[in-house]
Amino acid sequence: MSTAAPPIGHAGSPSAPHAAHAEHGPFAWIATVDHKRIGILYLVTALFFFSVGGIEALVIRLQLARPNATLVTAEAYNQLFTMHGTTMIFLVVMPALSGFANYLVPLMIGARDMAFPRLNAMSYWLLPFGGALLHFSVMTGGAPAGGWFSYAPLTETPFSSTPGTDYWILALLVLGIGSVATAINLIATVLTLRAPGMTMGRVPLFVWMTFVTSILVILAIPVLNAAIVLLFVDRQLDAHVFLASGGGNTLLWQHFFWTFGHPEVYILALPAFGMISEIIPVFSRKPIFGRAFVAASAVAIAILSFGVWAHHMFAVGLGRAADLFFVMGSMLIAVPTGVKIFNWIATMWGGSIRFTTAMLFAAAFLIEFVVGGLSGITFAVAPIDWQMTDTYYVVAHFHYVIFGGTAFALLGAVYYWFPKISGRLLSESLGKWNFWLMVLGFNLTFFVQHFLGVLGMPRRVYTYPDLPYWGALNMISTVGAFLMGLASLLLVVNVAWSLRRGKVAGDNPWDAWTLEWLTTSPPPHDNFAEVPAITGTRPLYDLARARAGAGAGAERVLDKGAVAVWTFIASETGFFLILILAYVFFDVTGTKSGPRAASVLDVTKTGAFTACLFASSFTLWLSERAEHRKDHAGVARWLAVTILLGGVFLVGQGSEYLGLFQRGMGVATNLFATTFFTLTGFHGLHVTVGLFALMIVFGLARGGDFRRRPSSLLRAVGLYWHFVDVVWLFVFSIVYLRAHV
Amino acid sequence: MTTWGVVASCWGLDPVAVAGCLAAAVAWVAAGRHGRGSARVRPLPFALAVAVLVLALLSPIGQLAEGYLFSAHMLQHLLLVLVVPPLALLGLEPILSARPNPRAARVVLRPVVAWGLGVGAMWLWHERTLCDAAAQNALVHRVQELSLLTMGTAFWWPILGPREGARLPPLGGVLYLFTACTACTVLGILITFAPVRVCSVFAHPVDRLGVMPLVRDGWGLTPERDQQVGGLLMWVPACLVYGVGILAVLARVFRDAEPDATATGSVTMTTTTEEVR
Amino acid sequence: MIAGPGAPAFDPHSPQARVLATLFTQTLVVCGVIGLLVTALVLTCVVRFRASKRPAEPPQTHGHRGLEVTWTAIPLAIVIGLFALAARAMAAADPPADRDPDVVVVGHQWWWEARYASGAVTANEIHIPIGTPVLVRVESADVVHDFWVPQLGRKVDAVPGHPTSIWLQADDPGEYGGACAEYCGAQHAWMRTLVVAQPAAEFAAWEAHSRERAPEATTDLAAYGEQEFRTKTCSVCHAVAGQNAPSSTAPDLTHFASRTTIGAGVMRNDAASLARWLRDPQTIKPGSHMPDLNLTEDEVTDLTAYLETLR
Repeated sequence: MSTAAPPIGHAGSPSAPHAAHAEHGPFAWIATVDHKRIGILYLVTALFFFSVGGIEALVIRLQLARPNATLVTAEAYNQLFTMHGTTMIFLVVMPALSGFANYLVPLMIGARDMAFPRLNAMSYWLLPFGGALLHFSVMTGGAPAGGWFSYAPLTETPFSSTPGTDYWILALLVLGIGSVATAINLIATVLTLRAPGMTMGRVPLFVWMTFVTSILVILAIPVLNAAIVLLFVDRQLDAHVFLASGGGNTLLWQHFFWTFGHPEVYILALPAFGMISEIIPVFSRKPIFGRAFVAASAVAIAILSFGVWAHHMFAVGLGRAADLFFVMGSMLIAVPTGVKIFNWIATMWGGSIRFTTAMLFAAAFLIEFVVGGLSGITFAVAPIDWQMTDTYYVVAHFHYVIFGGTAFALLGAVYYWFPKISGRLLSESLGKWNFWLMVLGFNLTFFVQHFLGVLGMPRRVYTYPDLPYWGALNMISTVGAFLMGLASLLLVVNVAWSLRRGKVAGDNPWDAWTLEWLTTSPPPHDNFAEVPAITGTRPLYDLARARAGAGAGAERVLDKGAVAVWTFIASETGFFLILILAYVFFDVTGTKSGPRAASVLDVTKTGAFTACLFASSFTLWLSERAEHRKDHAGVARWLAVTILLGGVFLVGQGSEYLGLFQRGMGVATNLFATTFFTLTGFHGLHVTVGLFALMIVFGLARGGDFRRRPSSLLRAVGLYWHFVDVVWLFVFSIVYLRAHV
Repeated sequence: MTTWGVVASCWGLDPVAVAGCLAAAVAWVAAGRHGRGSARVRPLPFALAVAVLVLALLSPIGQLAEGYLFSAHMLQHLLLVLVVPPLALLGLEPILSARPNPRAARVVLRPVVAWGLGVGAMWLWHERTLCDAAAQNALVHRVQELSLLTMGTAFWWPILGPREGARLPPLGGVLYLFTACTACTVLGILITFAPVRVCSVFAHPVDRLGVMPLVRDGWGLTPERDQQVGGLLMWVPACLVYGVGILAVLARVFRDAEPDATATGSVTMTTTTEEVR
Repeated sequence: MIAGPGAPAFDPHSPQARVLATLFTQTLVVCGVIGLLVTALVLTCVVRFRASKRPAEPPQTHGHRGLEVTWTAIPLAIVIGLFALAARAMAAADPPADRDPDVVVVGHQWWWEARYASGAVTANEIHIPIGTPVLVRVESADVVHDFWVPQLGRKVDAVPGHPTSIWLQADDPGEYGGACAEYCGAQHAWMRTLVVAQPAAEFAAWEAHSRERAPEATTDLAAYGEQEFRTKTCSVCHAVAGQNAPSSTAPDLTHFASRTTIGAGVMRNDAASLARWLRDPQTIKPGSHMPDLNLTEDEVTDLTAYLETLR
């Protein structure tokens, strides 16, 4: 774990700015661990991929401009929309939100950097790597063409034989690991590095929304990871998890994917809500209306988002009872969302509104997001979903949410925070052009798609017959798309021009109230010379009026290492939960032929190795006790025993695998074999990683380094090791004991 | 029998419910006699708790839960664990906060143990043998009802317990409820999609009340669909209750955000490392 | 190709579709009112609360509990109302299947196979008698498809290993266009379908005719074509009743000439189009499983003549 700058002290105890930290030279950006530079890297990368995904969209719209067009082939078209969706979600919106979170969260809470700056740099570099992996597929026989939700069995080898889908899987794994790492980092930052007096109830709403989003990320992404790992096993090892022809289950993919996919929608939307909640109050000159309600409704949305995935599957025929429950759950999301909208309007109401470009984007966001939300209600009403799902109506719906909502919030955020990032204001006159072109283009493009859906045009068709109105409406949509392209170009021009010629911003050009506006624009390496004691939700407002309030109270600071490991464990739990569910599912419903747990697994032998693993948790605990007593020899001794016991477990698992292979059982033998090997294999992998970590700790302890360093490393690795053992407790009970009881 | 007929006539005399109502009356009277100032029962949540208890145990829900419908059993189960205890705790808070916890309760009310009891209440009674026994044997059913109420009370204590200082800090509380919700969701999913009977009794009920034709044909509840509805009840509405709990906990976070807010009883994020663990 | 009057989703021709259209209209009205309300509120703010008309620092209100409760409770009430409407519509628009299906429709990459309980087999065009609900079981032979005829009712996914059912009913005779609505690979765009609703007697005649074998070839050209149908391996995938074994690999051609389209909607079914299709299927429907057989012009003429006899 890397070291982070400590939180900044109270007012009156200024800490010396680290002038020596100024970074120059060509590698300064590549080697940087500064949260602001990493944030900028995220934003620039997102802009780059936005142009890639945008050009893909324009080609798509050109092809659809007229019926029976032949601009691109069916195959190319299918790759285009798959890449467009995947790019926009995973390479544009998520990175752009990560970029703003990276840049702003430490500044907004009065910290010097993220909790783990080096982990932060790694998360960023996984992004270009993942993007490159995804696009490398083009050189291997074609980009993925399964759509962004890659429904099996279309994405299984029999129907997608080129490696496109494999690159899609690998890229998503890489990007997912990066997102989870960022989320863990953000959670640790928010929980442990807040300035004195800034309670969780006082953090800016953007920080709050980012915090809630990060929790969604660590819980949702592992579900996707587990699902795509299973798909990868299917594709690479000829298994049949999602192939009905081999006893697998097609719908399982859909359940898994949407368990991730619906929270993902809110991963894209919640930070945008946070941005809007910053922009609207500042330009209305009023505090956010019903702050607690805005914040709590985000949590309500986050919780509900995990319980409503099946509304993506109303057309599947899950049964009346299931449909009804998911109708109710999905509709309920409208309530907290509505609460937010009304609170934003109430914030504007009675204010003194300055219509800067940022505020214009925020106002347009309100209306467009409501349109997307209301068409979302029509999808929650299952019978309407039976008509409109998988048509252009749904395309219109989610673009109103993700573009009219999130992207408009992002554009507002660019205009709002650009002066802080660059030190110069973006041109307002170019900005107004940018805004009006974007509003016009966006609504032209997507509003007519509602009608296309109602007219019966399915989504994801590379061309369409010349039915009444279809051609005309599609043409309007295409014209709108090009206006959006033009508007995007204007933004780039504005950024390029303003970077050199823009009006110098000063510290606080908008007269805003959150901490990032306290420091210079752009902020120095260490962000702040000093941070005043925080007494309310608008520190600069309180500072200007010398408003005193409830003080810091007796806040105890959490250990960031512990926070990180616990959030990581939460994330891993989700991953193993899905693998265990897959195992249990096929164990109960799967084919009855071939090897089964009861017939091939030796519970006594594995029980012995299991005992070793559990004993290792105990010896590790003894080591931690020894550390507590400052008994350094004891630490090393018990660590050695732990490593030995862990090694014995791995050897045991290896011999078990060998025995199974010799009996002719491979990963693809049947679904029991596939899910058994995947589950125990991934557990074994975690044990291996844990062993390496223990060895590093052991080396440090032996080398004497440990006497000077805090024991947090031992505690962190210890937590992880105990977690791995607890997972095995479940695996052993469910796989081995259950079969023999 | 018609649906209205069932609603009108299928009421039973459940000793647990009667005892519960008696206890409620005693608590009310005792509080009224000794209560000074704020040490009174809060009437609204208290009355709601009693009403829900009656609904769960005496109404047709209680009757159908005894061997007829898995879904009715699940509804009763959820009301007893997730609705009655928090309402009762809210209602009784002023009285309870005036006296210390009994010594024996201290172990039970530790968050880890309480969480285990709350989630255990969900899982334990859906083990096949126990579930069947409770549906068939009146005595076991009484034990089940009592244990659900007790375990539910223990579960909600760290969140709604009478003394504010003894409650979990907000972050801990959110984690406590969210993990419980997850555990319930997993069970709900398993029950909903399980191809086998969770409680075999409900497949072939003994029709004491003569309502089976109505249930099977009128309401269209086949044994499969009945179990599905039960699983979904555990999954969606149960999670909503935990969700409301989470929102209630969060309300405390935002209480003293503004400088002009009164500074009394300042609740800040005092979560410690131990509590996060 | 099949021009329904107006928007199919709002042009119901069956009791089931009518329920859906009514519900859609009701929901859109509710949503429209909310949308207009929000827009009006935002625009009011834009007009009334511009900085130019207002003090530099307006009153700093932090919230209002009563308002919050109101705008939580009202949406909740609306949602509960919509839920009730939805639940009622679900029961009316999609009653459960309570008997064996009348037709089994199987989605293939990229065509629809239809097998009637009576033994009739066809592809891409489903004939139904008007006025009676027809129970359709929807299956898939490969990937996930979705059967959707908007004027007649709900769509339903064709999921491998998970058969589903819908009721298909039409009030009036006519042709109702539909399409595969779940992305299913290269030619998802051309996996259209047509439901032909006929008066009961007409339907009975069609069904009886469909169960008959293919007529004998009467002209020389057609006879050559029939021979080439076998030698050029067409018959490996395409069944023609009376001439080869039934097959589900490709559309049954026993009564091919009586159908309206070729290639699941990609072109009209007439002699000229058919010849083009035989010559170069991969240009017309790239990626489809109909291979380019490198036929000579004579072979194309013969095969066209033969296939045109399959009425």
